[in-house]
Amino acid sequence: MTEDAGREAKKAWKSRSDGFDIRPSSVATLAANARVRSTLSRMATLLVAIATFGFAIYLLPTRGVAALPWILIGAAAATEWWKRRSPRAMASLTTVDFMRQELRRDIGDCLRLAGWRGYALLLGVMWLVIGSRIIADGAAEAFAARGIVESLAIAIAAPVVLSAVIHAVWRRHLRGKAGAMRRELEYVELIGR
Amino acid sequence: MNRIAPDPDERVRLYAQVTAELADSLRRLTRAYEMDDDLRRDLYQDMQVEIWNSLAIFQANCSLRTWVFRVAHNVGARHVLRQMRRRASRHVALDEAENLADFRDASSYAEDASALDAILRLVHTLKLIDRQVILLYLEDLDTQSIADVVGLSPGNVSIKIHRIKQLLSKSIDGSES
Repeated sequence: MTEDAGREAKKAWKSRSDGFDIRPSSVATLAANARVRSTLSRMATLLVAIATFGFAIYLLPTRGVAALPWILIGAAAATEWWKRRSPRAMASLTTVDFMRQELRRDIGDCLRLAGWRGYALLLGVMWLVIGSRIIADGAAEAFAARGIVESLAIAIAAPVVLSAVIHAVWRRHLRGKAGAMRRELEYVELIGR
Repeated sequence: MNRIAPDPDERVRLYAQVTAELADSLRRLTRAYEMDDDLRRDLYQDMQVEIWNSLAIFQANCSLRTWVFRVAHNVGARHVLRQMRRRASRHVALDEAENLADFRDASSYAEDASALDAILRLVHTLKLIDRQVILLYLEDLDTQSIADVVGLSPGNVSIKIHRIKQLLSKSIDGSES
């Protein structure tokens, strides 16, 4: 009975085929375009990392804490560049291994995003506004004159409060996603033994 | 590792062979990963591009068919995982699927629903690995080849195929009554 069902299912499965197709000559072009896109995106990420690190180094001697968010943004961009740099193997991996790799990477991404990177990016955006105003007002000297503790308090307190509120919602969402992917990974690990 | 397609001409020849022999299977496969027509075309295109890229490093340690299915299924898996990130979706394992009312209750299918719709409905409910086993079984791959593509032991694949046949029997009976 189940054998018949198997045969019938195979027959039904092969009974219908979608008409769409791609001309073989187009595939090489599509692959080349995808490679160019990916290279450009990787280069852009690397440029962002170099630019932000460069700016942080420029700020560090004179404005101290103001360089902190830029270091974090640079680190986030560098991580992204490194991640994009490693190619995702398709054919050399079985599905179980491929899923293991993808899910681990995705869970890592979610948690990293939910952690320091999201915080750093928000902090960075806040600093773009606050920092540029301080520089524009010529208040940098006054800011530095307050001393390291007070400067740190001013520099970090305002963005932290705001980003904590925004980020709390975002983090919960990302952790939920990470949880779903972790359950999927547990299943893959279980049956892939 | 032995690379058997190092030159562009050989790659073009292999790709033509894939197109001639496996295009229908690949189109059916995309149907099992994506319901939406437009997204399915995109997925099919992604599969073709990845297959083309992979042929540059095709190794002689497995058949071309196994190689292509491995790439195609990994592209499909990536597509489903991306969808999972965007929207909450629940997929069940084979043993859970046996307990789902949908596959036991014949009246859950519309009268004109074909056996194919019933199979697709079952396939879209399953977890990725189980989904791949069922798809490769439907494409007539033997147990060892399925194990090579998916990465499970042949014994494990046999057990899954047995369960799949039982599920298919329920699904098709349901769709016909």
